[in-house]
Amino acid sequence: MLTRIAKTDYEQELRKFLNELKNRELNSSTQIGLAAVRLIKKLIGESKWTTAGELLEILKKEEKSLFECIPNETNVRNIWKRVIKIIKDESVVIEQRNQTQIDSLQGNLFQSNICQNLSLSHNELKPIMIEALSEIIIELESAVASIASQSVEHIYENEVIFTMGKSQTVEAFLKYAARKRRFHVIVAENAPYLDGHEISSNLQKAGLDVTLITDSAIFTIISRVNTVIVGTKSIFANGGLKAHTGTHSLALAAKHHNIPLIVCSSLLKLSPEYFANTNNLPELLPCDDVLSSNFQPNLTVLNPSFDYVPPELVNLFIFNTTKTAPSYVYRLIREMYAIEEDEDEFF
Amino acid sequence: MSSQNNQSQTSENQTEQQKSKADLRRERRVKQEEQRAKKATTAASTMPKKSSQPEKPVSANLKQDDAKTSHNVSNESKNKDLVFETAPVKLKLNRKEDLAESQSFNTKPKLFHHFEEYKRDYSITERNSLENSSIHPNFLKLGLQSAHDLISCSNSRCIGFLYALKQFIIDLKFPSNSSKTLSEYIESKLKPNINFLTQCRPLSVSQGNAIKEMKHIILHLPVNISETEAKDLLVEEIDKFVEEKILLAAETINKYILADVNSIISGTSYAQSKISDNDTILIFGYSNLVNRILIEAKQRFQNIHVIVVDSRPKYRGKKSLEKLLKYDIDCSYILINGISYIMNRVNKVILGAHALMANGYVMAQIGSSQIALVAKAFNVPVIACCETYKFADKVQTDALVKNELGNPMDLLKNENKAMQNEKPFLAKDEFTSQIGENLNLLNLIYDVCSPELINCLVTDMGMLPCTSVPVVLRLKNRDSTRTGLKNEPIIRN
Repeated sequence: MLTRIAKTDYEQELRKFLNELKNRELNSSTQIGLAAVRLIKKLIGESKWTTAGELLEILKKEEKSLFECIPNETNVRNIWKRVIKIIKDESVVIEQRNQTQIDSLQGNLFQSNICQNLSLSHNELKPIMIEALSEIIIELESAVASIASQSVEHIYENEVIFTMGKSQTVEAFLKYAARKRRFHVIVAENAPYLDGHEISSNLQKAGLDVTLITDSAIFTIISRVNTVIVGTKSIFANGGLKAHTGTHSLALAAKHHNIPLIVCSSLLKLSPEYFANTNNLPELLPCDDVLSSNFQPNLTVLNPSFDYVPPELVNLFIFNTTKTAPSYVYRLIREMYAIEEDEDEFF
Repeated sequence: MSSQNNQSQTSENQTEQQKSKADLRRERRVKQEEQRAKKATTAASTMPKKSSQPEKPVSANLKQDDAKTSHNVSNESKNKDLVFETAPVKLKLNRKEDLAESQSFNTKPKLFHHFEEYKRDYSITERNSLENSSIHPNFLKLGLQSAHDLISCSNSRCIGFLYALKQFIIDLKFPSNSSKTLSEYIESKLKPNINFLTQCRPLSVSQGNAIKEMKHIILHLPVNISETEAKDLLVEEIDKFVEEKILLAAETINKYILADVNSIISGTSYAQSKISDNDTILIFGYSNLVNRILIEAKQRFQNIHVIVVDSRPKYRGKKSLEKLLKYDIDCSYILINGISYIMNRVNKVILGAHALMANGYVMAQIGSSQIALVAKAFNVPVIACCETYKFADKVQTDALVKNELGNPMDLLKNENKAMQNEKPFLAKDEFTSQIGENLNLLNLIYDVCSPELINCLVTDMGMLPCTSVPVVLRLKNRDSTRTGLKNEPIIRN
């Protein structure tokens, strides 16, 4: 796919997007999400389709080829699937305009979500899609602020909070609480990329007392901590996390001492996939970041890109609209993504 | 120095009571300056040519027994040809940059104020007059090497201490007119050396136990013994300690783990080796005991795979890696944040220990308890290895009640050569100013692992559960009170 000459605007945009991902220029999930939405907008705008059915085919085809290049970017895939669901929903709504929908578990069993009639025309659907995409953009941009505004309910005076990994959401969460409460934050460095340094610098500027520790000191320090608050890269369908490396051992340490683990994330990070799928194993990032390859040429150096945290270790999810336990995540996924009954994957 | 000051003050008060207090103070100050200048010139004239350090009088901070007697005896007890290593001098000069930086930061976080401050941000030798001090050059060398982290392994520090002690005893000259007994004399001479070592770096448990043992032996020297006989005896005891408790202990631990059928271990045979062929073994950091086990295992079983886990800021695992690769052992390398990724492929975890507490807790390099926890979650057995001389009578339940702090500025260094151009965020100039009041760096050195996370403890007394530590201590105490001087082999009940 990348060897084709970029003929259309969409392909140019795609090329740019993939390069930015590779060079790690897109720093936060929000930026990645916004870039993905721009990409979809271009695709919908440029490709030739007349009915909803054709548009769905185009999107599904692009998705398959795109995610062969970037199998680990779950958030991009989520947004893609969200858009597909929106198209299907709109078709269903128009089809069943006069019927009332019983949106319950039993109702879903007896109703067919597969839309038989995907014949919405281009003219009808396009404005709806553009509106839907701008809604997604608004949600992406406002997610961090709405999660942060909930922080005052979870952080109390004179607490010790522990955080780890690079997360814009958690940073905003803590900064918002810092305006109203005095508490202490302990940040783990998170080798090899040392994200903790940046976070601790930003938090200290916001007026918090921050202590920076090494990764190896996590189990030691955590007995003095009241709550652990982390962000995540994405959330699997069973409530498990795809988080920064080191989060699993942090979660185990927190469980050992019975300290609550709170995960702050926007709803768009919820993914209908499971960890057990083979394309979900952690890819290995450049080993040079860990140990210079001049050290010994034939040495295996491992640098996993993410950690899987099972749902039993997570106590609470704070989303932009709701707060749930990991066990309820399935319902949110049901509402967000469409189910294809003839395919074995969520789609 | 302070006693001399007092004398001058009282004499002045008696003779010149007419003058005002301010005048008296001025005169006193002038006199002190003169005395100091005098001392500096005399010291400079007798200084060996190789040393290039400025001479300063012994500061009042340095706790010494008798300032006067030490000055008198120091010239006799030391070798006239003082050979100064050039290495310590170079190190001191480099640290001037560290000195400027670290003095302006107060990086101890409020939550951890009970920890002893990391005091090594000044040059120890600047405050000491090397010529007139009573510190033996071997102890000086050991102290500087510990302070600059050239020797970090607890076994090496203990052996270094014992060999310095050996040389110290050989060089010691007992004056015939001394009022003390030989034991008392040796102890008083030894005290400032040990204080110096403690100043350089707090003593490790292994060194503490060795000191206790040696003091016990010195105290129980027979009264009528001659100087040469006493020296021979002490040197023999030191050699025996190193030979039996450190070197032989390591071999015995090896034999317990690898179940060498040809070895004789009190008639019992451990038929099954704890390491099998095609095993994947996980180790953490650097421990020469564990490295030795792996090297021998490689010689027995050709196909073992070792995963070396490493952590910041010291990256001690790299040393392990170099050593293991020399013996052609198949290795992988990963940082501690990635242990969840590989733990399901690991067969066993072998940890080295710095010390063992009397309540069964294992004191080891920081990060070890985290590895043990993750191993337990994945059902991987954890084996801890420790010689019995490192068993301590202390109790500790977690690593925060008592710990040693490392240099907090180490967190700002990135020793990974591949990323040398990228300094850690906080090390960049615009952000270093943030470190201080609200932003603190914590660099702990030790970790305390609870016994429920350790499956087995291998010592030179056998394979024990962690709860057997007080039993071993009781046997050792009974043994030493019974024999007094010569240690008989420990008989197991």
